[in-house]
Amino acid sequence: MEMRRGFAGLLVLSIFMLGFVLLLGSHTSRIASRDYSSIVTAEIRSDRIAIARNVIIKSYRIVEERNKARWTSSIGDEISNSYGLRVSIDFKKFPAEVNLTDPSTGMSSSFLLT
Amino acid sequence: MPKFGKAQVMVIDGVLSLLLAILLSYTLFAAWPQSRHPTGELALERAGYDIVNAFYEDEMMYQTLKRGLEVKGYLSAGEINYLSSRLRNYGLMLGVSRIDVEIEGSNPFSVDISSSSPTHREQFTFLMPLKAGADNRLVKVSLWK
Repeated sequence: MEMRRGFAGLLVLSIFMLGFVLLLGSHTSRIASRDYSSIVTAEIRSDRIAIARNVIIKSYRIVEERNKARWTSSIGDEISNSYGLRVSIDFKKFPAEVNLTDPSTGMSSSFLLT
Repeated sequence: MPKFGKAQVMVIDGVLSLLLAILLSYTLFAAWPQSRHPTGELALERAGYDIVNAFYEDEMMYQTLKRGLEVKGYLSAGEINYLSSRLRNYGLMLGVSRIDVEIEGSNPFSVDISSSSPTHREQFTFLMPLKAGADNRLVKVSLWK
């Protein structure tokens, strides 16, 4: 009788201990999975900045002088909304300086329009 | 049948309980739900960069767009066919299954690259400045995987 009770007690104790160890393990993998997701998301956000930067540089090179005002408003509205970025263009400087900021990650990129 | 002492029986008890515990714990905890965080398609983002770049850097594509939009204000069926064939090649290289193109003031068109049903979509917007008195056009390209 005593042995059976001992066996049952040991079994319950072992289950709790192993369960705890396994839960810790699965928690670690969940943290790893979350970290992986955040790395991929950051990578995607940085790719979006690179695409927006490319669009701004390439389109500026071919824009006509008379279309420049509309180009500036399109970049500030459509392009910034489409890529989820804040765009500021400083035409007071020569060459003009563009600053792209991603409000969700805080990443930013500055470059000159030549 | 061999005779076991009390201590030996307790050791065997312990080993057996440990084995049972392993079995039960795995049954209980192995299927513990793990939350999955949705992530965007990194491959589509990279493909998006190349496709947007192609519209500016591929001289044939750029000239086709420029000619159509600057002269007529829209793309003709022949020009859309030509752009589709160029985009199909890019799509094959980049491993996307479909490309949708919407050009401001022109008919939208799609290019099917593979027969597999697409599941993920990413959209990229860019500006196509035009000359000869024409206004800039906003182009939206959706890539499907």
